[in-house]
Amino acid sequence: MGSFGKSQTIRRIEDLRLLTGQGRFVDDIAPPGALHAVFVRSPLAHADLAPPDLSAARAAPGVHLALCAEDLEAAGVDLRMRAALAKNRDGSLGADVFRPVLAKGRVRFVGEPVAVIVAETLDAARDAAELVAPDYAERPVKLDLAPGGEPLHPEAPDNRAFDWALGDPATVEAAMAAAAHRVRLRVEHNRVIVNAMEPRAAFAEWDGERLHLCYNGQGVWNQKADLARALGLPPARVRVTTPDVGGGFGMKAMAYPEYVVIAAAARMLGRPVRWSAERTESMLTDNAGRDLVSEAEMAFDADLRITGYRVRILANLGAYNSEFGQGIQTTASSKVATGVYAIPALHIAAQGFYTNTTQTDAYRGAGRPEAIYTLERTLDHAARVLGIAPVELRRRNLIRRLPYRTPSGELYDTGDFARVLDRVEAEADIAGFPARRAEAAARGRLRGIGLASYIEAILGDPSESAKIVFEPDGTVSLFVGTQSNGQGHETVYAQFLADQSGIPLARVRVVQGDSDRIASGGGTGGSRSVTVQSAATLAAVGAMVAAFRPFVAPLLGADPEALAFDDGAFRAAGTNRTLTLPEAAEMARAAGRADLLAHAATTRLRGRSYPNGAHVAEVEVDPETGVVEVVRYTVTDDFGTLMHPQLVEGQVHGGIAQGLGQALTERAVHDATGQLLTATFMDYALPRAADMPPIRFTTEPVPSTANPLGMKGCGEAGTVGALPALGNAVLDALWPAGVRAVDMPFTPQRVWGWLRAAGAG
Amino acid sequence: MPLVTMTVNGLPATREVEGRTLLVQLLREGLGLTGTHVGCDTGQCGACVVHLDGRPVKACLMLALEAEGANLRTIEGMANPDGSLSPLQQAFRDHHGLQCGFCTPGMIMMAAALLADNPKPDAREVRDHLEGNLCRCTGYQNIVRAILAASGQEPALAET
Amino acid sequence: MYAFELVRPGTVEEAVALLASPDAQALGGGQTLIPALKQRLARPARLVSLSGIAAIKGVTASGGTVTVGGGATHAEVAAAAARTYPALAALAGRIGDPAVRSRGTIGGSLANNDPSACYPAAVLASGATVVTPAREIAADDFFRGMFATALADGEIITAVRFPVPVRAAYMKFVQPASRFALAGVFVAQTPAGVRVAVTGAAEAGVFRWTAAEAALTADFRPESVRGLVPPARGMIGDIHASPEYRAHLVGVMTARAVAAA
Repeated sequence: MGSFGKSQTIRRIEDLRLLTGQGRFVDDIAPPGALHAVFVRSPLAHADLAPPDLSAARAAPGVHLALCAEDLEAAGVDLRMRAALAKNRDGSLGADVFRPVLAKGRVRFVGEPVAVIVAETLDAARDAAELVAPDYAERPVKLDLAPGGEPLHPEAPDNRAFDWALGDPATVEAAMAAAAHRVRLRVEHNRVIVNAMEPRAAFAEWDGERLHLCYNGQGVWNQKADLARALGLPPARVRVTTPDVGGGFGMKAMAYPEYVVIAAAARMLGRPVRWSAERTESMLTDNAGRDLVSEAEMAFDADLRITGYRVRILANLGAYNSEFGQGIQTTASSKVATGVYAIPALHIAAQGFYTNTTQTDAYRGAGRPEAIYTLERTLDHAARVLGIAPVELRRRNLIRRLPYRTPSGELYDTGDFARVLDRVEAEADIAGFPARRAEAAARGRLRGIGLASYIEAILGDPSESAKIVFEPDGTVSLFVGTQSNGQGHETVYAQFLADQSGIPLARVRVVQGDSDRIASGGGTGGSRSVTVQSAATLAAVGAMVAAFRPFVAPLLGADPEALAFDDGAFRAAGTNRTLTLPEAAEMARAAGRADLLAHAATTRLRGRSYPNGAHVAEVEVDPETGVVEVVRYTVTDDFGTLMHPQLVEGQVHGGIAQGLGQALTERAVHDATGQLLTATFMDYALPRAADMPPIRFTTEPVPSTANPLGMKGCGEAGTVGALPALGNAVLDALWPAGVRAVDMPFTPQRVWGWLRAAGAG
Repeated sequence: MPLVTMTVNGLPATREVEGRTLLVQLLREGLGLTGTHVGCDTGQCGACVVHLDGRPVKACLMLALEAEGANLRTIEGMANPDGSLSPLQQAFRDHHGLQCGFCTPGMIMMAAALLADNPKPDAREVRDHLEGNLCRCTGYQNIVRAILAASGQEPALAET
Repeated sequence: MYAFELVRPGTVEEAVALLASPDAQALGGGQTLIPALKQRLARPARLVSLSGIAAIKGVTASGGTVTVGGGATHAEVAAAAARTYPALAALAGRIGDPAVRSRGTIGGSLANNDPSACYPAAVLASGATVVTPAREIAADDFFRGMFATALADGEIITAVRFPVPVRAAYMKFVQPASRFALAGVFVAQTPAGVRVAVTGAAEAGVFRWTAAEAALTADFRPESVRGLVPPARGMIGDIHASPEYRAHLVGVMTARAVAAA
């Protein structure tokens, strides 16, 4: 095969347009003359709703259409949104509550869409939206993570969405009973608002026969199925496309109501309709991340080896089931509940509750950051209680022999967790920390260090397809089923195809995000993209080479069996006669062999891959103000074989930044009536450039066996490791001042409050 | 409706606008310059930064009519005259200073403004200068590397 | 935004005439007003932009006084006052971010009197004089509580005259999202004594912290205010900081400002 493995770093192809203002984000490419949609949204967290009177809005200047739920139903639109359900421990399914695309009879969170106005201009639509004054009858709000309270849904009278469990409680109880030491820790995982820089946006077109929705999602096929079902169209009459996407992080992967509504409006009007969320609208309606409480208990034997681990989770689903909302703190999270440690007995019990808040769903890591945060905070707590260095307690409990079957059923195929830990210990100079702490103390600063090992399980669809087409203009199209949200797929896949096939990189065009041109695909999510798409592309290259072999052999005067394909060309053994694939394709075209101009393959990965690593954070706290500054950051990762090291490092940086945001600055706050108090960037603090430490990144790769290239996926890992490393560092800094418990986010006010309560503020 | 006349990326432009039309609306919808993005409602994100008479401004916090007679530069006017990437743009590409690219136009415009005032900033000055520019993808480290490299300095200084 | 008419007079006299109409509103740099208009929090029929009035721009210094035009941007002040009044220049150079500083003006900031704005602290601590077309207003008489000033309807700020203190410094603790001051303290040592003005912290807006002034007038050292904290009552309480935390931060920022002066 070709030159893969050299890990060459080429420059990104997409950068040429993105750096010059020629990017093609949805709102940049809306059709000329598209009408503007504005949604009327609930100002209340919980209220009964009568069908709103839209007559004034309809009569307003420039308005073409105004719709509420009842109007959509009358037009034959299926209001119901789909969602996956968890399986309860009694074998039944989690609550299947009705979530309409426009509120019907009841609103359940601030920002829930109640009506849509479509007008000539955005200002005209906004002016008309102000004329809609729905009749709301307020209900009490439900915000706490417990059964009971004001019911949100008739299908879930006690507000419980699911009651899920994994593992054998009796085994864990026995381990607890026999333990030499037991530790307990309760940790909170603050709700975060994803805030991709590009807000959700879409436009829809109807040509009388077919619907086209262009939106900024993470894959087109689920959206296509949703639209076909909601609008009662045969799937063949629906096309969904996705252009450049300005970040998704899981949030843009899920079904949302607005896309169905503007598609219905475009069909009714026969004119294109566009919508782009404003930032506050995004903050109110994009699926949020995290928002749960975990209570962990861990048993140790006399040698400080872990003998049992149990976790009780109370998770906030928000007002409805989002598409995968029930799956995050259950199946997704549990996959890595025991991390990189040999823990023989595990029991997890997770309950999900409805509250009058925006839905929660996948956010970078989707359950795995939560699991690893709980585990690694608990281990650090145990190290303190048991009087052992955190790195030593971890080292003593690492999984040493792989493959390893975890108590949650995962089969870790490869990894060298001890080597990773040794490397990060050296790179971070943990041994030199006491001197750094003393130096900081002389400046009046409290310095702390935090270590966390992590492991990730690559999720998402393990199947993927690739198609290679030789185009008449000499370019080669590579059709992929994944979807870049900014990770650089266009470059990575083109580079990979060029490496594997010898087709010059400059000729390769990656095609993604068009349901008319690509039959199926899994989109982006779960850190899956590069592992699955490369495997599929490799299979397509294999099919292509095999298909060309009988055609090329006579041209080179060789037997098909004696024909080698290497360094990007067919080669007749014992001769210097060669033919490249583009040359062979042109000959095939001239010979009328259309069958040789397109090659496709679908592959399914044997198993998940398990990226892993360790993070070390050092923080300094200003005890007078409570400000936490991250001053050193070291990470060692095992991502298996690296396809494009520079892009991988970029993923790590970005993942750490999102972890640091959740840990230090980001906080979604609701008041007692369910109003979101952090609904603009005036109150919701994303990390800025000056908040980020320099990040030192190294790798200790052990190739995966789950895909042919040995890759492990790297998109979410940075976030998974960052949360506990930072949490452990902050507590380490505050511990000498008497602080004994901390929870995210470590904002100045909270840190100062803990110090003051400990008598040190 | 009133008219506004300005120079945009070296070319004269005159358009009818309302009093309430924002500069960013004029650029994106009136002039088709969609490289300038809108990422928030309140002026924190910086995706809409353009240069007004050589200074960085947020096009979402300025009325179009206020740009009467001004010399504007947007991301579309930042490449070399032959269309190739400018040294700053090239540095962003070389150092992977962008991922999704949505905040990038604002980052480039803000970085260009910094280098015009302070040709050799240190890493801390670069980070502080980006106080009004949010990025959700990169963690900023490669942006800082790119800006240092564009200033002719060692990009590894971003790690100090 | 609701629809409005925008007018751009070239002189102070024209601006004053245009602002005489009750549904007109002055527009400075717009960095606070435009977001408010976008949220439809105000509905002026006419906005009178002050950006085209050359007479209210610029920064001059003479005889121990720095005079800042009401239309001078933060960036202009940061550059032009760097030698003549470094503490004022440093304050201006840290308002918002570089793009905000290109547009935002001292006149707009003072007329709005946001309780979290920086400039009110400099004006009050310096004992500056606010100049309008009709009169001159002493700083101690200008600020009248949150978003309220001594300005009459339609009255605009044409200049602010700062007597340059012997020593001065401003320290602010920023609200992490908005970057406005959660607690900002301007300390100025003048021949007549020390003045300490606090912004960002109090529900009534910028105020002089007299207890700190007395302590520092007696002895201008950080130790003089160590442990001194203003009463938490009357401080702003929100999700970012409780009244107690704000009061505490005022004490810390005051000591740090004294150390930096």
